[in-house]
Amino acid sequence: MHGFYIYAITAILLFCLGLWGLAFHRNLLRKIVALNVMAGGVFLFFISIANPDQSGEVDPVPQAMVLTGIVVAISLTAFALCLARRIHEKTGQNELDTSCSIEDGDG
Amino acid sequence: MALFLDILVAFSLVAIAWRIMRAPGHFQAVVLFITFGLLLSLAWARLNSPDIALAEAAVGAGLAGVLLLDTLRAVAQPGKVKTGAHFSWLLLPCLLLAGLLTLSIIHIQPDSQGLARAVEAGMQTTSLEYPVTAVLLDFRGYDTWLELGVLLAAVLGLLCVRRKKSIRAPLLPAPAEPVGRWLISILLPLILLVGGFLLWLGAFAPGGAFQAGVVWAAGGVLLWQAGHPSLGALPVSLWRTGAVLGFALFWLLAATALIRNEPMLTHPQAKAWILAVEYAAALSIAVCLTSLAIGGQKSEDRNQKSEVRDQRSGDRCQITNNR
Repeated sequence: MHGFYIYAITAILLFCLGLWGLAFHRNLLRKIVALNVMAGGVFLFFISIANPDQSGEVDPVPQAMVLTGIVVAISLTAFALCLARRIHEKTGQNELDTSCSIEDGDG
Repeated sequence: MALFLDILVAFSLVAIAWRIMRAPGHFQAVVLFITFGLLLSLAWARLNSPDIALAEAAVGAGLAGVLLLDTLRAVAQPGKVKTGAHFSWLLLPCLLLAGLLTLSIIHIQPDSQGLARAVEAGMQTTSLEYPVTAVLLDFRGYDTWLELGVLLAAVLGLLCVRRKKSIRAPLLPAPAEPVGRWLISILLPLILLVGGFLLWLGAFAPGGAFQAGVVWAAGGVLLWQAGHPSLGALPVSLWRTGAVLGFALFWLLAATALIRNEPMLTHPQAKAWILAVEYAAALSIAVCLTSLAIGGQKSEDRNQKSEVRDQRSGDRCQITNNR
């Protein structure tokens, strides 16, 4: 039973640390890394809840869903990194400029 | 002892996540993230989930690391000093959220059975012997089908953003050769073998299409990293077929079930059919992930430049053929 609490609380901390990083980092690459840490937290929570006493058979459905989730997360990461590169090529910046509005953003 | 190990893994995970957020340099953060992936796969192993541990070790620590480092190199701003991460008051609401979520899990009554019993009951109707593979390919075929769709969509999106017409364009050999070719000749057969073994194992033990596909993708990336021309020499049609094969087979399965007036994705209980879908899925995952890893390269806006590169890759092919 202790395993459930240890890993569930770890998962929550990972999620919240990732959320924090996503919010305060301006660099897009760092934001993507933070997003991946968040995803790790969610997966960990799911599996810790599926396997509360760390013994015997683990519920196979959450395992299959997390496996699917890992592949979806890497697709998302790859695409996001590609967009970040495109932004860098277009603007020379590694971060989104949020100070300008849409009207004067065409320059 | 087990408690101690769990606490150690949990503490290291949180500490590394903290360092990832606070690291002053981007490179440091990326390397820490690779470590984070390895530690996470240790946690999966502690949680009796060897399937996820395998996939996480290959994806979280391997492919994600390659993608991040590659992008870091591409977007590096040499003149600019790396701005460090500033401490932010936003940590307070996030910690508050963590506290609230922790309060909520105390009231969860962990249901130790979950859907395990339902899967066990369903195992009699399927020809697979390992429950996780059975869930992936038989009971929850939708998830796997749509996941292959997501992979395909990511590859297509990447081609659109990079303004490339075919998958072939990103498959040019890398200019540098950070990994010696001799290393490739040792590692690649091993990687192919391990991937194939995992695929075969999936029918009755931890392993399966995901893990095999990811391991093969790692092989493909390694091949590209070494500047080996073989990937670029593959015909485009072969790549396209490989990328859509898994999705297409699931689609075929769904369509034939509808024609036979049965619920979608039900199929004749033949092991050959399931295995065909599994093998196709593994191949598609490998091809798509490899394309995602190599496809982010700067697109060729000059035809001349790509011609030069084509010529060079052709030369390299000849060299290898002559050997």
